[in-house]
Formats: sequence, structure tokens, C-alpha cells
Amino acid sequence: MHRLLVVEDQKRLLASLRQGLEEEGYEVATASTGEEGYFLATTEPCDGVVLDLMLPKRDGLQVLKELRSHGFTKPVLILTSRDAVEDRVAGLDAGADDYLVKPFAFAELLARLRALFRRNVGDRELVLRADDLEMDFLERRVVRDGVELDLSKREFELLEYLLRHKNQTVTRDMIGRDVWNEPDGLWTNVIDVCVNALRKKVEQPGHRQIIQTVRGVGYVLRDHQ
Amino acid sequence: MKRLSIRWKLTLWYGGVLAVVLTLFSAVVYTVMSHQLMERIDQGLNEELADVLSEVHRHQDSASLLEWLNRRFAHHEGFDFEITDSNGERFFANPRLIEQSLSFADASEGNSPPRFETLSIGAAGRWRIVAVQDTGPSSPLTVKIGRSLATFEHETRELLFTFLLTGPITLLIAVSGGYFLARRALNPVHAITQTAKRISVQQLSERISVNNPTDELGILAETLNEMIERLERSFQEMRRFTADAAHELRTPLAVMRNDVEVTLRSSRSGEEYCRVLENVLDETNRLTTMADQLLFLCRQDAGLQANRQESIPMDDLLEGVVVNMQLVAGEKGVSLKLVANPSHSIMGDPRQLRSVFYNLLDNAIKYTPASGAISVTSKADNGQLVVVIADTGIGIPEEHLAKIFDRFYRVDPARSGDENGAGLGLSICQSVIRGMAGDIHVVSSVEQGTTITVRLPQQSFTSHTPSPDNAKAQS
Repeated sequence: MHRLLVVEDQKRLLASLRQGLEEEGYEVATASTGEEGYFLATTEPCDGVVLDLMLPKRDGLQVLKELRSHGFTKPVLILTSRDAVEDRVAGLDAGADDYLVKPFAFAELLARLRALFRRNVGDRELVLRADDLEMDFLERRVVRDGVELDLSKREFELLEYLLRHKNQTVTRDMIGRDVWNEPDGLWTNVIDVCVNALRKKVEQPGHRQIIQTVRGVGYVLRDHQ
Repeated sequence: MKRLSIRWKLTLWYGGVLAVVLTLFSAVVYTVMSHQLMERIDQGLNEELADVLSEVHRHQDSASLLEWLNRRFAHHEGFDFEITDSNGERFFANPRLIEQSLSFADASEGNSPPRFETLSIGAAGRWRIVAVQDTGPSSPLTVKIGRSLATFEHETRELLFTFLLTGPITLLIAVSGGYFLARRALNPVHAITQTAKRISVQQLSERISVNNPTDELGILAETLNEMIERLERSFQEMRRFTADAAHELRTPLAVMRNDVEVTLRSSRSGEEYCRVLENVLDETNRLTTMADQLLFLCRQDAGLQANRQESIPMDDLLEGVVVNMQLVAGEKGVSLKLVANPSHSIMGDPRQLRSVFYNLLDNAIKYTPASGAISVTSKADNGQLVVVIADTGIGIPEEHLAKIFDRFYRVDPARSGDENGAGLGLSICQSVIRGMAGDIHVVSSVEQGTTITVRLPQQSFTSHTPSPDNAKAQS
């Protein structure tokens, strides 16, 4: 499994991040100052870094720049409470691979980390399956238990997104961004409405419930097989 | 001069001008008066000269002339006479002149007019003398008549003295009067200063009293009063905003705290812990949304929002939003239609503009009961793109209409549990539209429906001055 270095000065956030990430199967090393983070990143082997920007002693951006200038090539995800565009640009320019604005959904952090470590495997499969549901991209049709489902374009895209992230919780922000192409998320319940409509079609009476709501977070498509 | 108060400056200027005027006036009066006095003296001398000359002409021999001269001019008030012959010998002189002589004065030659001269004659002081030559009974005679200038000098000296004495006194009286007047005139300014000092955040209801609203100071006072009123209004708004913000921010915190505290009082089942944690997550999400929205508004207010500037095809944007929202409307049994949607482009930030229309349509759907209808119309009008969203919803009561764009304002306070925010949505819409130099306007009647009109300039530009941040974000 991947080995992660988490650099964050807020002790409680650090503790909950470590717990959550370890439960997801990551091996986690932690640091609470920029100095310590830089030291660990350059001395211990790790596959990726989660880096807070506002750190005591040495600023996260500075740490990142120094790491990159010393040939550190592993993916770095920045955590920041500064969400102005120029801050994001500065972070990405300094060599970050992704950023996440605090407060963030833990599910989204997991999804971003997965994306960072993904090696294009299973990304462009032509047929996706979950339970007795099958999605065929060539013929552009969805079949459950031998019955073809009549889905709108948006419902099709939504189901595809859930299938590609099956057994992983996706947040409404992620769906809004990736399915609806609204980078700031949708300040409306259009996603809930669409998920409900999709559910009605996918979960006919007698079928097992596969799209679950994760309260306060988002949705997950469960593959029970 | 710079350090003096206006009152003293006015007084000093007044005093200075008055001193110059008084000096000039005195100088002119003094000159004119002494000139006139001298003329009168000369006139007297002329008359006496004429008398003497008539005696000289009347007599044929020197003896009778001398006798008559003695009789008439030996004791003549104020004038002194001396007549000399061609050799310079004294022919006649009045007794006072026995010791003195007027011989300094040169007689004029022949028939030339009499000569006047002012001379200092030893201890006798200054004299005015007239001299003329005339043919006497036997030989040519020089007639000189003198008059002491003592009286004249005394009079002019008194005049000068009067001026020197009354001038400063007049000046003193006038300057103190001027100071008093300046003080009186500036009294309202003092009152304004005192009131303005008293006015603090706690006492914005105070106003400057206006005695005469038409004069300059009255106008100043009224202008200041209007300014204080605007201040008071914005302070009230600020106070309301702070109170609302405190309420909106504290409520979720209170809910979480209470939930967690109560739960921790005894041991619970796993399910119950789950329920509480889910509640906490909900409230956290609400706080997160609110923080995002407040930050957005603050940045927009400060002009720090890095607004993108790109050409937005409005027909595509509207269609996308409407199609998405049709799902939401459909679920509620409300029909949502895009009536007219000509192809137009405007400049702006498409993300922000999309969120505006999502927000407006979300509201429209929320407040329109089942089987109601919402129509979206877009048209070009006078260089502007006008988007009209009309619903057949419950409407907004008159008294709320003016305030619905206020931050945290809710028509129905009972809806504060609403998931979709804390009454900031419309404020954000207005802020975005205004940021694009546009305008948003609401008309509504209760039970009939609400119509929202958004106007955007087709050649839109941000009203914010491009800050270095903006430039950076766009580069």
C-alpha cells in the first residue's frame, strides 16, 4: 500500500487524518512543522505528501519549493484554508499536484489521493459492472438483471461516475464538478434530485439497493459481489 | 498667521484694513484743512495789501501818506506792515516791528503780482509774508505785509493731535467690535464642532441644530446632518448584519455543542453515536457553506474577487442551467420553460453567472407550489441583455421586497433551518450582477408570483478596478 507523509500543524486534524488514512489502508508518517516535514520527506521513503500551507517555522510553500528543487518527484497534495485563485496558482506553480481547501470532505481527500496514485488502470474500461448491473459504453446502454434501463444523458453520466468510484464515497461537490462541470459546486439540490431519479430507475422493486446516501457527505455505489 | 483661529484672522484683517483707511482719511483731511487755512491767510494778506496800496495811491506826498499809514495800520490786529523805499530804507513799520524786519522777503519786480512766502523769522516763529513793489508818491516803495503763522500752526497741530488721539481709539473700538462680530458669526461653527464631538457610535441619533437653514452655515449644518443620517443608517445596517451573522454562526455551534454534550453524559449505543455525529456533520456543512458565502461577499465588497473575464454565450449558459433545474422543478410538479433565448454573448465570469441563475431558479422553484409555472425569457434591449424569470409562486409581501437582497434577510424567519444557506444567496446574486455592471430587480405580488429581471451590459466589464491579483489570475 502507499506510504503517505502528512504535514499539518493542527494536532487534532493531524490525528483524525492519520486515523482515517490508516483505516483506508495507507501507511502514514506525520510531521507538525515545516522543518520536520522537509526532514522526513528527504530521509524517509514515501509515495506522496499531504502538505498544509500555513505551518510554523517553515511555510508549506517554501518546503514544497525546496523539495522540488532537490529532486523530490512524488505527488504532493496541498491543504490550505486560503482559497483565492492566486493562492491556488501559487501552490500549483510551486510544484503541487493538487490542492484541497479547508474545510474539506474526507471522502474528497481520499478520492484525490486515489487520483494522484492512479495508473490509468481500469479507467477506460468499456463495460462497468456492479452487482447485477452492467453498463456498456460501446452500445451506450445499461442493463440490470437482464432488463435494459432507459436513462437520460445526465443520469447515464452520473451512473458512470458512481460506477467508476464504486465502493467509494463521492461528495456532492465532486459530482457537481465532474459530472455537471460546475467547478464551484451547485448551490441547489439538483444533484439530489437527479440521484433520486436515477435510483428509481436502477432500483426497481425486488432489486437490491446499490446507491446509498452517506449523510452529510454524499453518495456511494456499493458492489455487493 | 497660520496658527491663529479664523476669528482672530478676521479681526486682524479687519483692523489692518481699518487702520489703513483711517490713516489715509486723516492725511487727506489734514492736507486739505491746512491748505484751506493757508489760503484764508493769503486772502487776508491780499485784502490788507489792497488797503495799503490804495492809501499809497491816494496820497501825493510822503508825509501825508506816512500820517495816514500810521493812523490806519500802526495798530492792526494780526497783521504787521513794513514799507521800504528803493534804497531799502524803512519808510513805515508798525510799532511791533521796530525790532524786527520783514526785509527777508523779496519784493516782486514792477507790476508783477504780489509774491507770497513763508519764512522763519528768529524767535518770532514762522510767518506768511506778501511783498509787492509799487510806485510811491516820491519814489518806488516796497510794501510787505506779514502775518504770524502761530495760530495756523496751533490749529493744524490740534487737528493732528485730534487725529492721533481719536484714530487709535476708533481702531480699538472697531477691532473689538469686529472681534465680537466674528465670534458671533462663527458661533454656529462652534456649536457644530461641539455636536460633532458628542456624536459617537452610541449617539448617532444626535443632530446639529439649524437656526437659519438658508445661510451658509445653515447649509453646512444640514449637509452634515444628512451625512450623520447616512452614517447612522449604515451603522444600523452593520449592527443588524452583525447580529444576524452572530445568530447564523452561533446556532449551528449551539446545536452541535448541545448534541455532543448531552450524548457524552452517559454511554449510548453505536447507532445513537452515529446519529449525533451525522447531525454534527450536517451543521458543519452548513457552517462551511456560510463561511464560503460570507468570504465570497467580503471579497466582492473589497474588490478582491478574481473575476474571470471571458465571452459567455448566454443562450448556452441559460439553457444548461434551465435543463438542470428542470429536474428539480419536475420533481416538485412545477413546469420550468425557457421561452425565448436568442443567441447573445456577454463578458464576465461564467461560473459566477451560472451560480446566479441556479440560485434564482432554485428560489423560484422553492416558492412556487406544485402545478405552478416558471418561465425564463432572455432578450436584447438597448445594448443590454435582459433575463426575466417569472414564477406563479407565493410572491413576496410588499414590506419585504426592498430588503430581500440584504444579507441574512429572510422573508420567513421560520425558514432559518433551510439547508441551502443563511439568506445570503440573493445578496450574492446581486453582488455578482453588480460586479458585472449589471442590475437585478424584483417585482412581486402576493399569491400572484414574482418576477426577477436581470440586466447585463452586452459589452460587460467588471466594475472593480483591476487589482494586481486580478491581473495575475487572468494571466
